[in-house]
Amino acid sequence: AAGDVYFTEEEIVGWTGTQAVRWILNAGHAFEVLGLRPKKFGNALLRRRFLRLSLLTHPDKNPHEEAASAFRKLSDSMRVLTSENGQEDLLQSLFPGPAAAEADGHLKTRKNQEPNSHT
Amino acid sequence: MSPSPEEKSYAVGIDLGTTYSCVGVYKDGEVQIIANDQGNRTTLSYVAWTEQERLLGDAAKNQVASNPTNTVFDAKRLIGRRFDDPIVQADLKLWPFKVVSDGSKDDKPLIEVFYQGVEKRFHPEEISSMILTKMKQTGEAYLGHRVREAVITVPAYFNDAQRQATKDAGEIAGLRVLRIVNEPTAAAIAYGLDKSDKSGVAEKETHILVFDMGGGTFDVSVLAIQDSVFEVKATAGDPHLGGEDFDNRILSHCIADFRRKHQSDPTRNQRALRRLRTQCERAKRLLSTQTSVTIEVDSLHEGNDFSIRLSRAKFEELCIDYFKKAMEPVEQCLKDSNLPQKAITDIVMVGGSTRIPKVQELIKAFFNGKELCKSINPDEAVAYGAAVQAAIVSGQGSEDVQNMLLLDVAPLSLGIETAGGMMQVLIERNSTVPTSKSQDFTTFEDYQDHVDISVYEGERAMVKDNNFLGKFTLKDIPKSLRGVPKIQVTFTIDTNGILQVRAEDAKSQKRSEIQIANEKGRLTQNDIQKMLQEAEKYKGEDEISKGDMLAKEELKVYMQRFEKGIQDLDDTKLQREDRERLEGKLADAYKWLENDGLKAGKPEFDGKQKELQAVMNTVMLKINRSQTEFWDQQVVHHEGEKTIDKGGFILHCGVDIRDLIEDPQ
Repeated sequence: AAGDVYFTEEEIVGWTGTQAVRWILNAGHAFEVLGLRPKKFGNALLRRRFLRLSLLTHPDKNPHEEAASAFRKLSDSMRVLTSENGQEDLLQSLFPGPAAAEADGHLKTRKNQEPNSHT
Repeated sequence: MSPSPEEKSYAVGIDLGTTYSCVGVYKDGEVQIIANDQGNRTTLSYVAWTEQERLLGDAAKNQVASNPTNTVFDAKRLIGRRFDDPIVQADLKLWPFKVVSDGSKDDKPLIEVFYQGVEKRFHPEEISSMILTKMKQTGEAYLGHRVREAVITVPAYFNDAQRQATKDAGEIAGLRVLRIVNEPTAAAIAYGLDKSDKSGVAEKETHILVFDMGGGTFDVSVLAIQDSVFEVKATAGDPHLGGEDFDNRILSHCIADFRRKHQSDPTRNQRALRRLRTQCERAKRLLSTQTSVTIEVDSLHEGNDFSIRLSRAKFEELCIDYFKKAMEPVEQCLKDSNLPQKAITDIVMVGGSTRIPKVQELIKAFFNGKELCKSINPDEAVAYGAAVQAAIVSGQGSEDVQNMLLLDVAPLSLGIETAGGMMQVLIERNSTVPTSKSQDFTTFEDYQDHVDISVYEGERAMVKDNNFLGKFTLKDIPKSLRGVPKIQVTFTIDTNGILQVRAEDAKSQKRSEIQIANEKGRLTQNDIQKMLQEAEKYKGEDEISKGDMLAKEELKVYMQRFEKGIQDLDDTKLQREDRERLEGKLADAYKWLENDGLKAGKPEFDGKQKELQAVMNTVMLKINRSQTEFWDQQVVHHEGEKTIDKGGFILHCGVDIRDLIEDPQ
């Protein structure tokens, strides 16, 4: 559903490398790095988003000086989200307490920032 | 040739192999594997020093029997290793050339040869750089442009020091090394391109296993491919398993047989060993297509001839433990990638040794009879992929290449030594690169003002079982009770898989860092400069002798045509005495080439050719045939080579234009 994501996979394709680098470096947690609101996602979806963002931020593809650190953050996020209990643990730390399971994906800490498009 | 106005420069992909090397370039929308001056698409990784000159590649191997101690190969087995490395010590016994320690605390190996009466010592990096120079020249001759940048491949199992050393070798050869890429990854790219050409872009994710067994090293990797992104999931292998080991097994078998038959031992006779080894290698190749071969060497040792019949079954029996050992990394790699066996959609075979039927049989059995992918030439796949990667990184490729991305991994876990000699891993094996990881450490004594940080790579729990990479000290930590200071250690691996380690004290913000490779195995910038100058000097010498070489080759070609010409003329046209005269002259020329040809220069070769031409002229005039007509029939069409109008290098007179292109200045 559209409410689960900040942007769709198709939208990523239209991004510039700089946009992707900024989005990733500004993101607060692993879900957000991949443009997702915090809730459980399947591996296939995560992977598609990871690959699309990799194409934009890998230093082979993007000469931006912060591309390498953006890519590192991206692949670290991916590792967290695809590791065993990684998503559960992260959700638990984002929404401490028993309410975690009912989290609606809207975090107070995060403003609904859209990727910077003036580039 | 004159440089074009916008001085074009290409980035090539080089597969720097233990026994063979191969170069490719992405040009006009496709990868071209470039043939060397001998017309071979792979070049032997050999360097030799003769009385007069340095020889590279195939030319070096051709004279190995007569000059074994000054013919160097297998430099890749030495690169980035210490002299006292058990692997180096084991290999030493099998090499006819001499390897010594440099005597420094790093205990680097040096290769010792005699050149023009003087003892010379080379680092393995220098030998590799000479081979890279040869590959660079091969590329330049074909492209007609300078080659300044390259992607070079290494086995996935290469450690940090070995990667650095390979990069250094590229620098010494005057190449900017754009990227060090794992060989199986390169092979997978070659395969991926091959595949999307046929069926378009695959929507679904596929997993492929690359089984790469070459002359000296063995690698297995599992990759995931989706949307033109190639991600290495896991990699494993044996840095010392390949075709040469099989050659050695056949060699030992033959030596044992010779001993039994003749009660004499050829193992101290270097020349005999080399001749026998050449025949063993040949036998091994033939056994991939036929079921038995005869290994024969005349007058091998103390005047005794040697001959033995070797069946494919016997060969398999001799090497079966090696073949079985090769299945372990396959299992390991699947385990590391968390994939069930059936998730592997394709098994890609790379490297000459994958032509061995038994190897194919075993891997096929492992995957329950799954068909293997052998559609790409196993000798060229790695260079092919490296050329694509060169195009990706340098931005030279077409659109489909520009949309490709290669996500590579670090082959070994990296960490530091903590209390009790334990290994604390910061970066785990098979992490996607580039990557970085930080962890906080502290002091374990009161008022400790410095910490030593020792960096290791490997999978074992204790550092003593892992490979030491380097050590550095963070000084001037504000004194406080143990456990109070917060020291953040950060490991960063770049896209080449090369590690940098930094330590920072949170309070004082004091920092210390090393590029690991400076500590071990790696040459200093000074060393590299010195070697660059050496290489330049050699380049001059190469060019001088190149003119001689060309003249010699020209003479040889002329003699072949001459010979064929005589054969083609029938007796009605050519009188018996004329035929004898021509044949006599030719025999003389062959004899001269064999004896004096070794130290002759261009004038002598040219003179000899004129001499032959003169005799031929006289005879031709006599039988009243025009020279042109005669030679038109004798034009040798290089086998498998295209003529110039078909995009090849061969002029209509049969001359290879690559021989005529000077090295770009």
